[in-house]
Amino acid sequence: MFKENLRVALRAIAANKLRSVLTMLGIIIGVSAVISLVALGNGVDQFINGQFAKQGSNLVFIIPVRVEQGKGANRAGFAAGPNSRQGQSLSLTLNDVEALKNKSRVPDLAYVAPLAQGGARAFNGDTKYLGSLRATSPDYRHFNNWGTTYGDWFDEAAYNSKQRVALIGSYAYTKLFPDGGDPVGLEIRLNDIAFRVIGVLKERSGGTQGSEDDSIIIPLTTFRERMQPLKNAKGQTVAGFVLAQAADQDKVDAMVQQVTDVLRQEHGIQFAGEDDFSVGSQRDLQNTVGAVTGALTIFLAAIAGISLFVGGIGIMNIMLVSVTERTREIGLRKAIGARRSIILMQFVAESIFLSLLGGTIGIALGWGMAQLVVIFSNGSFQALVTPGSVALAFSFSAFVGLVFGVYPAWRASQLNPIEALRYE
Amino acid sequence: MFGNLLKSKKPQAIETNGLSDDDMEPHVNGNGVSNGLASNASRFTMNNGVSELIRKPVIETKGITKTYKMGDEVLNALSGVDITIYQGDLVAIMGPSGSGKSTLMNIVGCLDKPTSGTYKLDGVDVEKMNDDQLAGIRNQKIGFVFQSFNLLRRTPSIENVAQPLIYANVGGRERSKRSREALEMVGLGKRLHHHANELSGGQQQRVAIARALVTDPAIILADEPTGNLDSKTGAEIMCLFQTLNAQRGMTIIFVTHDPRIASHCKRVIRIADGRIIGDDVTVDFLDACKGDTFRE
Repeated sequence: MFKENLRVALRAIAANKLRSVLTMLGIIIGVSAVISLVALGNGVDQFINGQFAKQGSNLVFIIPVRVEQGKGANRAGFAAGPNSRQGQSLSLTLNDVEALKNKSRVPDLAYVAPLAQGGARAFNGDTKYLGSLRATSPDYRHFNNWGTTYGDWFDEAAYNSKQRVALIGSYAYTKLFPDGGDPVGLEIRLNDIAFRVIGVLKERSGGTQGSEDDSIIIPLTTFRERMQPLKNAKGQTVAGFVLAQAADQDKVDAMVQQVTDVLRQEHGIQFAGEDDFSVGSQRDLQNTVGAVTGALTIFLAAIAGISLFVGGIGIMNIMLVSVTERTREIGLRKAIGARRSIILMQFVAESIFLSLLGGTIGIALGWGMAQLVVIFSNGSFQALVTPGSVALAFSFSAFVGLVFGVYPAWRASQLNPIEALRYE
Repeated sequence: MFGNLLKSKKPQAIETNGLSDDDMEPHVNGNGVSNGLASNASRFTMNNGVSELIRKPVIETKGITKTYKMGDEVLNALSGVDITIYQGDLVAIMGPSGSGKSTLMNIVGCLDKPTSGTYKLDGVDVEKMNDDQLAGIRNQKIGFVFQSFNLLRRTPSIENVAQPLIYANVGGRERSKRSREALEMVGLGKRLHHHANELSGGQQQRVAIARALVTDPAIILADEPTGNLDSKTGAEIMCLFQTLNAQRGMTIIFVTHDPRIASHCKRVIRIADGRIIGDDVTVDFLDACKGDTFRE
């Protein structure tokens, strides 16, 4: 009976090809939207997670927070990022960094480094390059083992003596030294101050403008001495913000607590006082981004759901037309012995088949669209058509066919055979 | 031509060129058709004027009424119809439009239920059955032939014929075997895979007759089967019915207002105003296989 239903359905669809395609269009669009958008959403998710994985998920940001008198804390959201104006707050100092290095006070911390950022206007002779400037301590190299292709990182001695030395990111290197070669020992000018190149960094995040590879790294001490002198009320050198890495993924939460305790002590904050800093783990950030992409996915799924619903109404409409057109056929089938349930099943099967066919075309189309996006983005973007989303789209279109096919099929099954046979 | 057809299928069947003059004589045959004997027996008894009691009744209705309520008015479409139709009958139910002929056909065809009265079809009481049970009865015991053929378009003949067997849950191989046999029986053995809309009107009606035959039903109920055909094709179809009746003992009931059909039947039941007004048996009916007997 199933085979027979399928055959009848195929014949009915083949008999009205244009109408069938138009009917399926709603489902096709809905399903292809679901498939392509979910694929791209997964791709974005994977891309972001990949970036986080490169950073290491045991990374913690400590950023200063301006506590306004009488108004409580003005908390900087982590999404605002290290470049936020909040970074100009004076509450985190190099003394804090030293305090955090104390193993007995922060046992779960592996590395800690201050980080200040700014713009870099660099000249190699007449070759000009505009990039980002990162001022930090030698420990910054330990965050993900950022190695060098030429030369080496500045050491503690160079850091402490505020030497004018610079490491060049891989992208910055190609711009400043278009001819290549070992630049170690050469002089460049950074924001009108002469620096000696001591190393070139390995490519880390795509080697493009806007990535970490476009930056030039100098000792924070030098930065504070010559470029952006900042001291707090106690005369301590301001760090900007601070990066810390936990010894282990599982120790992140413990470390966050230890860091918070130490900094409150250092800053002399009373029991009820507001923190003048904020500690956030990479994982928090990841969760925030995940929540955003998740909400986006749900939003897209809702739109796709609406279009599937509309597609379902289209199917119901055409099935009702089909039942009317085939009244005599239904009358005949009943006359020669088809029970109501058989007529019902025949039309439901037809509706489901129509919907599934639309769903299958939609899956193929959605997959194709996702691949097109990947091709146009030169592969920097992945589209993940997961078996889960295919199964979901497939079963959802079958469900739509079932739901919207039942009523027309029920109408067909209820037809009186005498009147149906007489129908013109 | 049907003689040839039947001969080719069952070589031991009697030589017949349709119905011959001595048609009413009992045929000495061994054609192996299961109801052949009963058919011959019934025709034998009829020929000899023996009581109808020993013939097997296929349809027995007693006091069938059918009333329709239209607002306050009550319309009596049938008011007490008693008919008995026997196996092997070739009978026309005749009446003008509005006579209750169609209502009677619908009840006899198990498409409708009587308001009161009893109806026994092939030994089964059907008047109290529900819709699904009636569908089963129609499937097993009745072969319908309609004026407008009612074939599925864009569907091969053999699949059209197989439809009732699908609803009877007959397996695929058995289905196509029986459908092919039925199509061979009506002379369309070479048109198995033609779509209905590629066939002439007469051929389409033959496919419809094959579809009616394929379940080996107790009766064939034909509603104006020649109404959409020209007189020559109409005569051919009538010849086919007469041959099926004579050779296979098929019980065939025509519902018609066409006197030409009635003139080819062994028995004519006349209906008017919801009552039977005449029931005549004749041995003097026309043989449609002998020339163009359908010319008006």
